[in-house]
Amino acid sequence: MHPFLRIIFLACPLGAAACLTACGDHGPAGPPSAAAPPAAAVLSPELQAVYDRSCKNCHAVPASGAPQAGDARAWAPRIAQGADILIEHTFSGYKSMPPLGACMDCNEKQYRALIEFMSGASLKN
Amino acid sequence: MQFTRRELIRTFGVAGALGAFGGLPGLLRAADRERIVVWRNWSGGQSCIPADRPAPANEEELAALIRSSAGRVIRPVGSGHSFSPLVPTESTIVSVAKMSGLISHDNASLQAEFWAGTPVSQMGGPLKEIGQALPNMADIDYQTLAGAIATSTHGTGAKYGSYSSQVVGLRLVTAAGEILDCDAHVHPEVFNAARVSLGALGIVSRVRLQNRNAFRLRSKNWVQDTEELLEDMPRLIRENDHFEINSLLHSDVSVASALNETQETQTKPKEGGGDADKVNMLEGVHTRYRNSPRIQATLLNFIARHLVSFPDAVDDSYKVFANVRDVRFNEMEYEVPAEAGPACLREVLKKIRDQNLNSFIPTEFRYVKGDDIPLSMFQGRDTCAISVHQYYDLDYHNFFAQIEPIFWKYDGRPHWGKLHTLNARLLEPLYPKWKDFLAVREALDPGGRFLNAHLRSVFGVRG
Repeated sequence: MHPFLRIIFLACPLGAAACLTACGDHGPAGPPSAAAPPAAAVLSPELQAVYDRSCKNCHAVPASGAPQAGDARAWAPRIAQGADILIEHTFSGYKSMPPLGACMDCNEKQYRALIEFMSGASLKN
Repeated sequence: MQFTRRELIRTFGVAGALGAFGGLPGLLRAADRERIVVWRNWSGGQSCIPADRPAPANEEELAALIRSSAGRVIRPVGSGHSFSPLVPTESTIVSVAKMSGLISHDNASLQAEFWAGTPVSQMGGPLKEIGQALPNMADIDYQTLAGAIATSTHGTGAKYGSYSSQVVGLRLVTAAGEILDCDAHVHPEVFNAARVSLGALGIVSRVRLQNRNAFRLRSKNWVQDTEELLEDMPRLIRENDHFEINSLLHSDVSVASALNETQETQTKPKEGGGDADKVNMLEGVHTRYRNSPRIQATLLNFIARHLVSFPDAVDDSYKVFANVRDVRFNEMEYEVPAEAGPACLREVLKKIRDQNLNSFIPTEFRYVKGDDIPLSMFQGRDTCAISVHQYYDLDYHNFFAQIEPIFWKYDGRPHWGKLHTLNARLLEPLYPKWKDFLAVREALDPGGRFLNAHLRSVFGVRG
């Protein structure tokens, strides 16, 4: 390899960077796919309203890079990190995920229910 | 009957609540181990633990909330995308997120009224359905409409003003809990001040905007020598509807972006996802070669010119203006007179390079048309907006402290939503209509209910 190209290769962790995703990203995963139908779980009317005005802005927009609601494959590595990490990322924000998930009056139970709805998985702790 | 942790503490006091549930472990069980909710802005640089976080469902609930909490500080919160401490309070932060969406529109005047809690990202689609569009947009659309106009948020384009300059009417819920409609004819002095208010006049509940007919944009991006771009700037901003440059720190090059209206019907969507790959590349070079400035510059020039692609896009305007930002940062931005922009940017970039300052996120250089709003950063003059950024995990204080005096030298005004160190004594000389705004604020909120510590410093109001 040409020395100059070797320098560029060493300087650029592009291979790893290319795997990084965006808005609402709770952790490592592949690129987001088109929004699948939401998981079987049903939200209360109150939480459905929160989903519609907050979560949906990224989690139902593939170009945002966020794991899409109902895309179990995209959510699996995030869920594997455990509820504590997911809730922490929701509270503090993560990448382009806004702190408190853009729901300023939600409580922890509601955030957990919304994550379970979008991921189709149960949070264990 | 269930109690929240806050209700328990209010009712019994901390000691009583602990005793009633067998000490801290018992209390945690009783409260289902819910964490303390800390409000943070997007960068994580600002935070607070508010006593209350209400989100009223309508204007009547909002007015009742303000009336029932007399004497308490209330700060409005949008999407948390301001870097300056506009929100933090230990008292109450109020979200109008439940008041969201298009309320009404007029085809003849191309005006539309939105609830103030509407995210800007949710405005483009509904506007397109009624044949309208925002004339210009910022390069992200995470903000709420209320937050965007409170801070005079802007895009780029020498012929285009900020979001605030497009406001033709709004409704304000005042410190007295009264609902006040205002426009150029009704309460004009309040209207003029409320178009950029930092949320210090009351809570804005609805906003009427002057739009234009829906349109499509073509974006073209390229890498070029920064000095060539600055030399050619008068032509570039004259010949392009929306033009900006992002200069790579510690290098000789910038990424130029030109957005122009097009009649092309074939859509070429923007790339999905954010800018993490490119920013991580810059971080990688900076981390490895910061102590070898010539190698760093050579690498950055080569990579930007030959290894990074910036594909064109053609789409509806609102899909082209906005970008995904998935690398968090803190930001300082000053607005300098338009004609001073190139010289100011040159000095900023030289300072960063000469002092080898520890930062790697590109500067942003944009143009905004002047307006007549008392507290607008663009009041009375066409403006060049220059932003510097620091990665959220790196300390920004030393970096910004070395750049901010350059902006002062060029008669800069700090962006209200971004980090700066000015107080009332230093801000007043920058704003010819400063006292006009203070008079309206004093009349509407003599008790300072909408002021936190930051705003007391900004407006020179004693606590």
